[in-house]
Amino acid sequence: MKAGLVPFFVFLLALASAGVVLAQESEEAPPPYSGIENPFPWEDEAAREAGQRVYQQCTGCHGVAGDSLKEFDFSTEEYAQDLEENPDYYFWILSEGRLDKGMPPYKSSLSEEERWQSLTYIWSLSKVPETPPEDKPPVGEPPAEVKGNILLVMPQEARAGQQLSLSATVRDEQDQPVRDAEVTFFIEADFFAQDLMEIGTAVTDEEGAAILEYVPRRSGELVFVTRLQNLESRGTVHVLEPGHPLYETEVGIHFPQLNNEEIILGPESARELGPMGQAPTSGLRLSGGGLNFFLLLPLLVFAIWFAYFKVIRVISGIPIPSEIRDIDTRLVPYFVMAAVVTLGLLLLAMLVTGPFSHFHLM
Amino acid sequence: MIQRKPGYIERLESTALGPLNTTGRNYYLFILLLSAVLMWGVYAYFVQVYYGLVSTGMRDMVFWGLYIANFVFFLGIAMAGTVISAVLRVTRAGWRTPITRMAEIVTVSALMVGALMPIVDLGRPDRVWHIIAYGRFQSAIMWDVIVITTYLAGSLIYLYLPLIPDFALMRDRLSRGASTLKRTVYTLLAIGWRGTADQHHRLEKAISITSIAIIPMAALTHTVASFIFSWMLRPGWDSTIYGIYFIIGAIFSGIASILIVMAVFRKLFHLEEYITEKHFRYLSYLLLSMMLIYLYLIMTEYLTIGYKLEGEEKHLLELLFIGKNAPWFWLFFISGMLVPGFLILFPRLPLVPRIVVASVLVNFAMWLTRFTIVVPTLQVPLMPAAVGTYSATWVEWSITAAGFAGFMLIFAVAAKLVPIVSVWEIAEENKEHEPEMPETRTGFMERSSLR
Repeated sequence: MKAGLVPFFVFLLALASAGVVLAQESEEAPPPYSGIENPFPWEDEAAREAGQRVYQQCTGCHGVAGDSLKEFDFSTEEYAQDLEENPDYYFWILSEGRLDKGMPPYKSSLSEEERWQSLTYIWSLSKVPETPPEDKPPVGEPPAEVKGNILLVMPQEARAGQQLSLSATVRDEQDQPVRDAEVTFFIEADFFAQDLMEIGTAVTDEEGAAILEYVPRRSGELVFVTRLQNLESRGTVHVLEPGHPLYETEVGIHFPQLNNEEIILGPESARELGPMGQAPTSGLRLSGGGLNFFLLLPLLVFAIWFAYFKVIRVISGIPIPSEIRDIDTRLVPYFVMAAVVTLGLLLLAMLVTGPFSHFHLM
Repeated sequence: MIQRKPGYIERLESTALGPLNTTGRNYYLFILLLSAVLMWGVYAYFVQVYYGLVSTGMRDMVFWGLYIANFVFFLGIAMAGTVISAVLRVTRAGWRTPITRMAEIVTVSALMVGALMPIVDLGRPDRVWHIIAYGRFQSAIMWDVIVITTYLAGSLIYLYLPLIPDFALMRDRLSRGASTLKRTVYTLLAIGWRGTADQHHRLEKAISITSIAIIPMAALTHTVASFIFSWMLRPGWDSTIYGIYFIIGAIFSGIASILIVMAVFRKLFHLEEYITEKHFRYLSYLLLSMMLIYLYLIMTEYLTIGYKLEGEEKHLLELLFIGKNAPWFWLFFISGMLVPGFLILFPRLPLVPRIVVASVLVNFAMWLTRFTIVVPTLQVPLMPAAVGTYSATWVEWSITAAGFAGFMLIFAVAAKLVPIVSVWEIAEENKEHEPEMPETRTGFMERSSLR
């Protein structure tokens, strides 16, 4: 058995080396990382822009501005300072990760160049003037100065799910209407970050009015903004709760019904929308009622497990041979039969109780 | 055709039961090696549970990786038992008898390993319980749990039933002078089998019912596994072809697996008399036809997508054919289609080696194609800025290696617990084909019982 020890030692060695990989706790970059420098100048605009694209992957934890994790706040001047002084350390962490802090390694998914570019971008995060993103001009051509004014006119009240007319009137300095100008409409949206969401554009007519028909999908105080280059106008509409549900609670095809009522398995709250159009809780709608083809599924499961049971029952009919007195040879089939019944019933119960299993929602 | 010489049954029994009695040092070394790989995987899994899924290459964009590819791959291999054993048994193809047992063991061990993979994929494996407690009828995951459990239970029964006469043989041959434990286990598992006509009738009936039930079960398992992909509105997955695509892919890699297993045990256990070149030839024809059907399905799939070329799917096809997944895709095409096809059709080389090489290549390629099914679709961004990257870490590779080691370990242990060929079926098949020499021996069934 001596030769058997060799793989065992190889295994132990591998185990130990993995321990080393996991135990990277020191604050100094080890070789081959120690002492390497950023190939890009920190102010390199092209590297910064490339790095910004790579940094999209980092925003989930570190945030758009780099300040989501207080322990590793990229937006501080000290962080940029440290990065400038010890680029090898940060390149090491980015490459190999720090699993104990939740930082994954990127050496296999990002090229060396991309890693340095993202570090260059991270360095620039503390240099960016602190302006919220919505105040930045839209990407593209820098806005030309337009003289005059824009006015957004809307009804004060609207109802969710019904059409709402947004009208923007553009006039020049002489208070003459501006024709053929493309006006963009936004709605203030709160989706992870508060920002303006574009909802459409319209071109002004000879009276200088651009009209956009919009159907608000939610209720509350909605802020609309209209823009023509540097001109902006905003207003608030009070949107009432919809008179009817915005979303259909019943999706799918209406099969002919066996009984008058459609079967909805699940808690009472599965039957209607929550407040403000909130989605209903989980339930199972059996379109077509008793005719629903879904009901065949438990039957199928039952049929298969019944067949298993039947098969073992056939086998269990083999009698105990006369010469074997001390062992009950029927134990195995009986045990298998019990296991088949238990497992089969469990799976069936899983299927059937599924819609009712959200007891805390009832 | 198998040549029956005097003492055919004696030779068959000693060949089949021999490995159960004597075990060489190499076997223990092999087991030790497999256990080491397995333990290493367990350690990697511990690291994964400790640090969370951040220790894998999976992120919010590409949320499935090697584990799900392994899941589909092992599920595919599990098809071997069904095709070889059940289909050939239902159609009474006599040449199946020496390979059915191996095929059934492949099914059971591949299912066991495959079913673990989605659990390994979970960041919170303790919440597997939730699928039982709060599972939803309309969720493909719940269907998957049900269908895989049912298939595994059916496969175990299907493995056990033809083993009963062989357990009786082991009870009669191996337990003399052996420990009482051995005798008790064999006696219990043999359920009082004495080979009488009534017992034969019962067993045949049971096996028939199971083999007919297990064929649609296998198809259902692969279809439901494909639902997990095709019920999602993602490019590539969102396709009605996925059910049959998975079934054919499974049969394809299943046949390749059984060919490899056959070749290994033929060599190790000296089964050349029973597993002949004929078996390799027949199975290689099946392999070739499955390859062509699989090729047809791939062409249909990509031609249909590529003809319409919707925005997202264009991106997917670019990723697959010329983008960052192109090496894997074309490697699959070369090693899974071109080279094996050539090897099967090119008769100059010795038969068994070329078929085995083709099978190894097919299995390698089928693993690759499972990877190109899972990952590239997730790399197609749902929003313009969200670029998904995936690169498996050492944790995932270790657990993958452990999965393969576990599969082989189950097989290696099983090969020492039960005869790797179905002794009574081979004997019966032999009797049916050459009934003119009954006087040289008494029937096997009568002999195997205690009288």
